Amino acid sequence: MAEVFNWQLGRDMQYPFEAPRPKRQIAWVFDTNKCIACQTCTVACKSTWTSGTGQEYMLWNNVETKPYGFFPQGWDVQLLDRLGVVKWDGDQTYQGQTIFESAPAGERVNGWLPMAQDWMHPNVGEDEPAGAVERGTYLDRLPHDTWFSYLARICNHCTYPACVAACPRQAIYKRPEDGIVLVDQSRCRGYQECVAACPYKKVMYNNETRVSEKCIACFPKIEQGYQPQCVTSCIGRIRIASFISGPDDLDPKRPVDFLVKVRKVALPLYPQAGTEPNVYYIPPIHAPREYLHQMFGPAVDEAIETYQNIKNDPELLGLMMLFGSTERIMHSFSVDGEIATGFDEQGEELVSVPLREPTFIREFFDDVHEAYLHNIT
Amino acid sequence: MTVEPGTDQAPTPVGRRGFLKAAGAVAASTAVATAIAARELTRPAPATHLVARRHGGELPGDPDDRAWSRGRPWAVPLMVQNMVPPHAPELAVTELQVRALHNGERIAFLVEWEDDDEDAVDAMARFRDAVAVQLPVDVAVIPGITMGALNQPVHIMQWRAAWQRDVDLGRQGVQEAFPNRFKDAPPEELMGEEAATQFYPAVVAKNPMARRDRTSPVEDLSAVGFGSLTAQDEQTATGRGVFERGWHVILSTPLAAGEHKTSLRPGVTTSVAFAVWDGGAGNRGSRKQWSNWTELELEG
Repeated sequence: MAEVFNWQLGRDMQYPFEAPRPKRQIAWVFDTNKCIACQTCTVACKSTWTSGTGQEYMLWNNVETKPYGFFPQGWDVQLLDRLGVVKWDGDQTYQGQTIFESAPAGERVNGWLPMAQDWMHPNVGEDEPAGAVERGTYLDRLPHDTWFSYLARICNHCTYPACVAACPRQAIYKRPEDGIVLVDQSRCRGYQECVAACPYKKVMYNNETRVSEKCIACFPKIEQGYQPQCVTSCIGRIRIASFISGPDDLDPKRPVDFLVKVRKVALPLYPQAGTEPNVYYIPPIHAPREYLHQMFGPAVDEAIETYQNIKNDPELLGLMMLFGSTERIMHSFSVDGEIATGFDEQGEELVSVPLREPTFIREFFDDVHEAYLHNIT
Repeated sequence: MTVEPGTDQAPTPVGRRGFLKAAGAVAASTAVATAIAARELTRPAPATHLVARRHGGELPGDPDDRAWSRGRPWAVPLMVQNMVPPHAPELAVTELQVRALHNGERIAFLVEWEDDDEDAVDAMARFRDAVAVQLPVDVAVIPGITMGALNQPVHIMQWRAAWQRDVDLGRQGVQEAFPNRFKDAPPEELMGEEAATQFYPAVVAKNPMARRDRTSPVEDLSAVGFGSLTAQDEQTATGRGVFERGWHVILSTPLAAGEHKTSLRPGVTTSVAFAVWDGGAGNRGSRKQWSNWTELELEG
């Protein structure tokens, strides 16, 4: 075991390899508040990468409804059960054990292997609220008494991937040029150790080719400066993919750095697993805080407060408006007055958007046609 | 395996299960017991190692072939591989019975073990039974038990029950693993076999796991230590496995098998090691039973 630094846990942790950080790391931010679970991302991914025989059940991208949606069944409940009650010291340092540190004797990772039936119901729990709605209930405050929220998921292309740690034959690797984690399709022998190890269950076994496969972050697109399919197809514009600086660096002009490290509105999912995932989520503001603390760690309250204050934060507002506005990878952004602009790696402008969409409010009564108007904005 | 009274069954290396069987057979008939006792005075010294008897003509390709009775069964005790994680939690197979024959051109091993269930399907969270024979590339060297080492390469032949089914029944895939699955538009039907290959990344990458034209259930591999197992470019191993109250598996290789493979000859004494996987117990990869090196002599 090697000692590596996991900034999301605020401490060093045990990992089977030295695992130097890649030269740069692709990362994502998903705003869960804007997701409507239309599954356009899921379909975009499916039709691009997994239409083959043996890949029927594979959803490298899926959107599940929390708290009762899972793909595969119970994936996060199993993880939470294995790691126990999460303890953070001063909201900074994780006090518990990671999936590497808590691995039982003879195992590299504290994982579990889903059975075939666990993969059979990708839409289980869809749109199911956490509880029954009481008679007379009305939504007068946040968080709501009765709630559900959507969680869009892809491979986290972790800094310390459990799949890489678990493979006994180094058939999985993390690319130094962009941090994308890939299963070598020529070297895998189908042991499914990676499937068992991944806390997010985003490595899947191909029943036809007898090797494991996973989300490839649309690397052919990223190599050419484009964002992945799930990002560019999102009709709710909830996603952005760009590069994140290492733990000791920070560039507030970089979109992911700004969201994760400056405003800290986007948080890792189940950071306690210890893999340092590179998909960051803006937490759903209407879900119970206890649930969100369990899911995203102790910084949830601050993140939600910042997010709810967005109308007074032109930089954050501008960046959020740039989500989904270009297919290209936005390496930096700026906000000038009422206009937010995204730039490519060379600093060339990719797109400019207004901070507030122009609105026109029609009169409630149309005198010309002598008609009342609904949907008046 | 069955113990035939009167044969020169080696008593010492037989494991507990084999010993009890032998004891049972003896108790069954006082006459036989007496015969064995009488033979004890004249029989050759108990076998101390695995001997590949010389066989005239083609080596038997069927585990039931009577020719195998010429090969002395050699009991190989197994341990859980616990040198490198992940390990299997417990010992699923305790012992192998191995016989070997050679004909000057090829050597064949008949490996048998008890198993209640035939696990021959490769699918999600389902693993297949398998067995492997490991030989040094340089027969004068005993490589590390760690699947060889950097300067001590080993030649491994692995047989898998799923590959046996591929050979016997044709390539098994998702349809066989999940017979009730429904697929409305398989790429093969839409664009033909050749164009549909693009939907199988492991096929395009020429991964031997994804082979669709398997003719042998045994794969030739090489290794220079844990985690280095790699399929040989040239596949020359053959074999056949039959399930009948356990597995009876033949693995065969040319004596001079080619580059990066073993190079045996009649009269040579070298080492051989075995590994067994019980798919039903979740065995795969390093979750296996393995043996130490055992001496292998090829009759001159």
